[in-house]
Amino acid sequence: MTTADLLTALPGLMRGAGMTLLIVLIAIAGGIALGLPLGTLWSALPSRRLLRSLLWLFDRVFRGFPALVLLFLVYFGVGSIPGMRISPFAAVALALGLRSAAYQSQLFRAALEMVDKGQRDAAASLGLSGTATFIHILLPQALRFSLPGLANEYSVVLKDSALAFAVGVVELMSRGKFLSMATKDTATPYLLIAAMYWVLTQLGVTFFRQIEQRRRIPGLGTHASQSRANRGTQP
Amino acid sequence: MIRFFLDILPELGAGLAVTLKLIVCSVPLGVLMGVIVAMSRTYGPRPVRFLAASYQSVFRGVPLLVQLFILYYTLPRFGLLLSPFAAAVAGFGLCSGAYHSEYIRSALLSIPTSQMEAAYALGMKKITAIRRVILPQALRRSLGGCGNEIVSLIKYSSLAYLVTLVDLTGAGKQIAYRSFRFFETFLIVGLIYLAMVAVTSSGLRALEFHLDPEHARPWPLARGTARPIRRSRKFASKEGHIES
Amino acid sequence: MSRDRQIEPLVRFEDVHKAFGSEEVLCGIDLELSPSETTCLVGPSGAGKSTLLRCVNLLEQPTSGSIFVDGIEVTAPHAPLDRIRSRIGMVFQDFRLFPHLTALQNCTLAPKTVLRLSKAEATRRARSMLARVRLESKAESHPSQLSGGQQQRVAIARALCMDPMLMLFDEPTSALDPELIGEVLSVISELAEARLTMLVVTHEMGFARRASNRILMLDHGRIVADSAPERFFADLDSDRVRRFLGRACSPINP
Repeated sequence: MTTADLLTALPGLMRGAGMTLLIVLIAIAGGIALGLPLGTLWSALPSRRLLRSLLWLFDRVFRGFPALVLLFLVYFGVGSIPGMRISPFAAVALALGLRSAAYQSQLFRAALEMVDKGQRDAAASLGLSGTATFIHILLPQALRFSLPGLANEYSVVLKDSALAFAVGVVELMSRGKFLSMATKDTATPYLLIAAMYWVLTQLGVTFFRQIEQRRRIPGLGTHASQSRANRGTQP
Repeated sequence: MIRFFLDILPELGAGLAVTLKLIVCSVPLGVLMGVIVAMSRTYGPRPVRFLAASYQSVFRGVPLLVQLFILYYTLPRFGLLLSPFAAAVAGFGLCSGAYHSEYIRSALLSIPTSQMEAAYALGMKKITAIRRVILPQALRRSLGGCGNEIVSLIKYSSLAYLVTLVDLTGAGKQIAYRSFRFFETFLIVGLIYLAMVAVTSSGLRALEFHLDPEHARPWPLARGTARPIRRSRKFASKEGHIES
Repeated sequence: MSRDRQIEPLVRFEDVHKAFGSEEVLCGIDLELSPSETTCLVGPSGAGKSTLLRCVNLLEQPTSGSIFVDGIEVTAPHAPLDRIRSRIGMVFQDFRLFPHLTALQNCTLAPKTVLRLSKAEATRRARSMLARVRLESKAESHPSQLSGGQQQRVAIARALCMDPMLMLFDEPTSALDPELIGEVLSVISELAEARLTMLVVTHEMGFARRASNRILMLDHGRIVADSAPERFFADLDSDRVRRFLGRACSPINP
């Protein structure tokens, strides 16, 4: 592949990267939107049988199924229901989003548990309602504790987004494949997109580190880092 | 649905066999890479440490799919032709090795230096001390994280399909396209992966429990959070002093 | 407990029992606290002092019996707990400041969200309370940047910012290094002199003798002594108190 080819291909690759980031953004945002309430629910109501079973089921399916299988399930599965049509992009967003929600619910549940138990009593003694306690005391601290886990989640979702190519979404991986087919070059395009993914990962890591620094509570670390090991005990 | 399941069973079985072969080959490779890279990063000279760190950064920062493509499509350009199976095993091994190395490395670092000192005091050379004292302990401590990574690999093995290997996922796709019963097929495929994951996870926890009881997570699998044990209230001491 | 001036007791316990599982911790407490009095609650460890204190603002729910605060039955099923608690201040042994907020924010949070004061009004009040505990210079500090004694004083200021009618102290100095105890006790003494109604669980006998109007002694879940400080300390060697100490509390029959 010549330099000229490379230069003409660049805009396309950048658009692919943009699409990748869009997928990641939507998946993680969806994950937070669903995962935070679920995690809160899980830690607040440990004894309600039915609810717990449902949460457990959701958790098992979306963390236990491989990402690719989930993607096929959503895309082809929904598409096979008569009358239902789902775009590849929506399928990817849905599959990755729900999966992220399952992981993030574990993340937030653990983060909420990390908040010192005495805080609730102290808030109650001041007359703060349950809701006010959650919003002003528990949530701010839990969010800070969940930052390392969220950074990890970004990393994982970014890499999973490459699977979108298997259902036809034109993100970075697809662009790489197209480029390779167009230039009959099986080396440069793939190495190039590998580098681009690597850069995107690094950007994310830096971004989250910045946030951690900014929102630092003096004296309160972000505690046990939520590495992949701590992502959740099961699958 | 049951009838359908029985019909496709043989084909799924063939795919499952491929998946199992993949896992059995990749897991040891990954753990081996993990140990080598972790040791290099912890005990090696500067350039080796740098290489190890770069390896970790690259193989954790690039999607597994891209890695597989490079192994399968790019390497032939440089003369190295890999079969889909070989490419998959290599990819899984190298990628998961990067994650394993991080768990093992932090386990190595968590062993107190007093252990090394004790080994030296007994007359051991550095390499013997590492091999006989530090490494066994570190491997035990990293069981949790490495176990998680192994479970993760079981799920990511599904990517082998994307480099043309007919594994469980590949078989599923073929069946689905033929029968048009997409939802059921992939549901069954997913459940099979889930079963593999559950069994492996349970087995690994048992192993963890046996080899490293102090750090092991509760087994059998404890569902939900562990409730804090209420401190029982003790009554006054027999002397009945006011100042306690 | 004089009835001639018809002062309604601020806090009234009627035959209050509290059990944790099969262990009965409070065995029939009858008690009245008058306004503007400082009462110290003393007794051996495990006697139930903290539990009694925590029942006043219903952080612990009694197993049986009734508790009245300012005429309102707080043990009633639909009692407005949040509202009642906002009028009772509590200071904990482990301070329990909110670590992600500054001292000032710790003090303004409840007034803003519960009492609905404006930011300016809440801040004004907070600064004056912090001045009262002599920590106005630390208003922008986070709890981790303060010593134990300072944190506890901020905790007192935080409770005072709600303008409580009653202050509860749960072993306020037990978690402090000896040299920091004094500064906290002097703040509490000043509050006592200002005729704030207070119930203090403490092991600091010197403080109890100097600063309180009344000493209650609890043992095995029962009140075994209830008198003015001079009388209490004079009685210490007497047989009567010793006899009380020997009495045990019968467990609940299932």
